[in-house]
Amino acid sequence: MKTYLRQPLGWALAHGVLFLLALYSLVPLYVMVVASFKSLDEILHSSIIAWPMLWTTAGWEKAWSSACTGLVCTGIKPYFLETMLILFPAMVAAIVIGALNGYLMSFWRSRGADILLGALIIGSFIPLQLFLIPLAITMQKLGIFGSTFGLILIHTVYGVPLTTMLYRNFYVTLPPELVKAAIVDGAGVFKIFRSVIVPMSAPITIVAVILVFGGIYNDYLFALTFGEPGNKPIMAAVLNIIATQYGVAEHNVNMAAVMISALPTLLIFLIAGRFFVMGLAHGSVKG
Amino acid sequence: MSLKVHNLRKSFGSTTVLNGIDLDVQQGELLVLLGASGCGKSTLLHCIAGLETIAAGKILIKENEIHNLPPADRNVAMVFQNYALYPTMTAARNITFALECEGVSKSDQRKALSRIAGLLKIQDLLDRKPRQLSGGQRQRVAIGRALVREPDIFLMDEPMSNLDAQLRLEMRGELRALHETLGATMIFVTHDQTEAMSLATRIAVMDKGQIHQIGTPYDLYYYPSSRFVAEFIGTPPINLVSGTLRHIDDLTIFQNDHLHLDLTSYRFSKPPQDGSKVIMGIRPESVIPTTPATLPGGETNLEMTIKDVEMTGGDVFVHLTKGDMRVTTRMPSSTNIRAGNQLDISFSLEAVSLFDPIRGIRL
Amino acid sequence: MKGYLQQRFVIAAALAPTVLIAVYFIWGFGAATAYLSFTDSGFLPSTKLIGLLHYQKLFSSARWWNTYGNMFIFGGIYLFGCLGIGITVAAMLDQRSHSAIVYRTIYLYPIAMSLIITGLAWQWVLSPTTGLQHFVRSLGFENFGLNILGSSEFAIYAVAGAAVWHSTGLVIVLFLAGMKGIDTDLWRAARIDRIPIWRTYTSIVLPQLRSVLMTAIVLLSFNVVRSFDIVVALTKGGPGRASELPALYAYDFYFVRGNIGRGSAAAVIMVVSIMVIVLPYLLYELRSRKQ
Repeated sequence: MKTYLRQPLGWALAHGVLFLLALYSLVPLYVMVVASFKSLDEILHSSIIAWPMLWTTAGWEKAWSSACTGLVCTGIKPYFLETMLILFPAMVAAIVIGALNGYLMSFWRSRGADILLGALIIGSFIPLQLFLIPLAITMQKLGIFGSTFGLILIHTVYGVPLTTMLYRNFYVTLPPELVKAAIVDGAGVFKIFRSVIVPMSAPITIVAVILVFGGIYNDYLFALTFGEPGNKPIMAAVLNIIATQYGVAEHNVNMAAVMISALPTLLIFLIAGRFFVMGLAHGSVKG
Repeated sequence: MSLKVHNLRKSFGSTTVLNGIDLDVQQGELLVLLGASGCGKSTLLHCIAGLETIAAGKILIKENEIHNLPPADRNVAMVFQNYALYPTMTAARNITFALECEGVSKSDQRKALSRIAGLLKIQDLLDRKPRQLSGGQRQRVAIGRALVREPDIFLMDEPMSNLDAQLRLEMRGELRALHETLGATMIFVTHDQTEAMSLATRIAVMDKGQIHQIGTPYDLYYYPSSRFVAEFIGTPPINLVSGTLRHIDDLTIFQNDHLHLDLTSYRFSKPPQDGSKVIMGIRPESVIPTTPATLPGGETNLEMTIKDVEMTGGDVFVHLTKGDMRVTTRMPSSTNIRAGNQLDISFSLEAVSLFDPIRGIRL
Repeated sequence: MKGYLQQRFVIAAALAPTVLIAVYFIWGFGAATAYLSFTDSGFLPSTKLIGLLHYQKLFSSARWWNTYGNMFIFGGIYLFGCLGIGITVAAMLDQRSHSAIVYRTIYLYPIAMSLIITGLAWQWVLSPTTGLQHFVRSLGFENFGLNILGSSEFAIYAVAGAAVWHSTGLVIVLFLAGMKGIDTDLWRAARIDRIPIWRTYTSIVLPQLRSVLMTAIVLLSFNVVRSFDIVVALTKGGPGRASELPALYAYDFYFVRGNIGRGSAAAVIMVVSIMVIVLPYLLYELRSRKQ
């Protein structure tokens, strides 16, 4: 400890504030979890804060397999799978391209590569709304508007600036002598990447996976605009489930659907929290 | 003639880093490129390796022009600062990586590996990763990586500069022994003149992109071609004394307020002018403490005041002054001397150097 | 030099896809949309230029001014909230290392949730029939009113509040990391000089964290300008258009009202707003790097 709070009053006050803020932070999660495990009846007749009198998984079951979005009642499962189908190829592609870019920009620098990096950095600050219409036109012309492949392409393209910056910032911290030694040993550009650099890339790759996963999984704008009506990625799907009500709103099902949607990124955060924090630090050092 | 460099020039942007380098490296010698940071020695090494392109000039190995070839085709091997071993590979793979890149068969790779490992006595270390090796072991693996390619020339870029003093001494000894065994041609870069003197067959002293002098350590120590070289080499540094040259009765005399020295036997490159100002360089070993009783020929002696006594273990460096003259000599540390006392010294004139005060070149 | 040239070619080829991304998908699209903002594009894009008409319509639209103004209200609450709470909490956590990790996890987890989830969560909490209002009333305060989502004036505050909940953790983590980097000798010197803790933070620690502050401001501002998900999930821009933000406005005009020209103009203004904040920061960073 650097120093200590001498006054008991100051100490108690600080702890009180920290505790209250922790409550404020946890309340939304708590009420959602609790609502998802209550029966609809109990929700309507008890308060939002109340601990469930009777725990039931009915909400979760319905949310997963039979909740309705519009006219289709398949639950959130197909949208979850669709999201994964988009996410993994796009994530892999964005990371591979970004890592290669980062490598070339760190160890094989050139005027062109530096300009490209600058263009990507500045470009990453442009709100996506500026790209929507030309993107829609392009997708239409290529005949992939609304398709899974279309979304994979979009997420790859707009994931590359982030992964490039992450890997480049990481690779510049590695000793350039390693690459020089490999050059003298006779290795070519890609051999050096494969055999020397990639094996050293584990720390940043974990961070990249976390950030790219989060970026694609949590995306709404592209899901909304470029998702096929019957097959939207999960954030758009979960909104539709909440918005679709026949008669009384089934709050427990809605909350269960929200919880299912929130689980993947929440679990990654809890399990790989250390890398998450590293990712925030890296991601925020743009350039 | 193993390596030849002709009039090499190199610039980074508008800064000239190498300004007309000429070099002839003999087969089997260990040439040290010595100089301060920024003198261009590492850049020169990188140009020879092919890691940098050159603006003008030629590089030849065994009469073949190599300056247009990429590093892999030049048949040179390089040992880097901190050894640059691939951290995620075993020592074995570090050594055979170059063969792997050439497409050599696995069995041939294994044969080469066991030959090298036997030579360097690192057979037991082959499965370890670099982080599991000591500094000395890493050096041997790095050299093994270079050896396995059977190169024409070994290039070494300050491989020991990040080691602690004790380890450096050890490594120097090992490298000297290795050079003896292999008889390989090596070019070694360092800023440490002690290291250079200890390892080199010949030393090339560099400053501001040019080579000042190439010669054996002995030559550089006793016959430096410039004041720069004289001051760079030697611990403690060479003593510099200003004075004037006079022709008196067919003799050439060095004169200042306190000294009157006969330098007729000095080998001048061209006859000196009467009355020309010079700077005399004299090594500490040539400043000999005497006692009044053993005065040799009178005029080379001087009584000076001891300003400071610096302990260095077996020796002490004795810093002397008289008027505006400052001179340092060495004495055994068991001698009972103290600052403030007087000391008689005598100059031995066999190995002095004379320099032009303005341009610093040897006269 | 054959080997070198071949190498240069191979590297250029490897970078080519990314060049395509930068030139076509980012800068090309940006330029195209900017162009469209000067055309009479409706549901479909057109190339007929009509000058600044869309911008004029924008600046004379009450709806737009409400939206753009909302961005500043939202931005102000978001920035002050995240930074004020975040820095204070970071300072408190900096003092106590053993419970810090637990607290940090609790404050940080919201950032793992998407903004859609954030919006939906707070929609549930603030729901007049089943949420907080209902809860407090059930405790006996029959006349308690907290229907913020139904209030034209205050709905945007709810959006800002939910966003603060989402992002404060990030600020805490950034500043905590920065504070840990402060030389402990400074702390010892301050203690010997009997400087109170809060004063040490304000006069000694924070001035050293200027670069962290700038990074935080840029990141948060970026979030403000592009906020879309959270408004859609929490209020849909409502009631009516009371809590609308520029990103939502642009989307509405693009795809619902079929006025690509107007939507593009709104998008351009969003970008200009961001550049006004980010460019000075980038210039400052570049200049301080050169020193």
